[in-house]
Amino acid sequence: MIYRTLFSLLLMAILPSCYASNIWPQSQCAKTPYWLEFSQAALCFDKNNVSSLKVLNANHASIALNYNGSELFLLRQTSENVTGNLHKKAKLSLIDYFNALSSNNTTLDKETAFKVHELASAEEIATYQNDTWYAISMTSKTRSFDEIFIVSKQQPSFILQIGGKFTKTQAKEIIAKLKLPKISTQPHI
Amino acid sequence: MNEHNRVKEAINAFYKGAGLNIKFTGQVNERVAEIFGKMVFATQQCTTALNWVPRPTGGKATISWIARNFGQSIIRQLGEGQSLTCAKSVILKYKSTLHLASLGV
Repeated sequence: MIYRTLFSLLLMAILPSCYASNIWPQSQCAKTPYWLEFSQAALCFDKNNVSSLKVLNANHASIALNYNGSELFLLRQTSENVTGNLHKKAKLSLIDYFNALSSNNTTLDKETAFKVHELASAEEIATYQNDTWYAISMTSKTRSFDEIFIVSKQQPSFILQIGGKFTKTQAKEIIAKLKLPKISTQPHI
Repeated sequence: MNEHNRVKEAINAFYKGAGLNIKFTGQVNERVAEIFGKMVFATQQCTTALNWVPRPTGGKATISWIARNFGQSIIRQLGEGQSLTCAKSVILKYKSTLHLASLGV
């Protein structure tokens, strides 16, 4: 046990700071249509599990659903609101900032970042990615809101925030019920 | 009650009015006041509940402005239904910036 711990410490010292996200959750929408569209994203929540839907008037698109008996908010967000611009202070992109929350990256003031995001440990974080999208969930029993942030790798200003009360597993299921837009980076002439 | 405590009371009343069992525990400073002001103005967009709140001179909320204009009455103002949902969405939207400001960073 001691040797395993020492070996882990040695590896951490030798290996460069690195972080591995989970692969994007497999879609759970084979049998359920994408009937709910929000700000270019589409969801395949079972309609029987959605008892209300409120469209909120705001500067950025926002809706509130009652899903599985619990209130769920979907918002378009700005990176400034997501981190309070802590990511800019650390000279990190938003995605690198999120990765730094649960890695050995020392550029970031993690103590402050953890307080900002109501995190007690990196165990409360899960990240997922594919070629074009990145998602991070922050969940625990003590948070004001459990949250998911979904960021486009091609257009980092496209940020979707999902907030409510859910577990890490439920967050993964929500992500699996999302279809995200294809964002073109090439001009069409 | 001094102005800083009045700001804390106003923020906690906003949380309570939105049906959330959370408390503002950080430092009150002008940045916190500014962000809380943004939250109030954002709430005005999705509910008529806080329509009575005038814009501060200069456009930015300050500790003094909040201390003068807010108190426990926010709880009654937000009421229920769509006002509650609206206020919750605003709290979610601004929670990271408010937390950071409350750290005095």
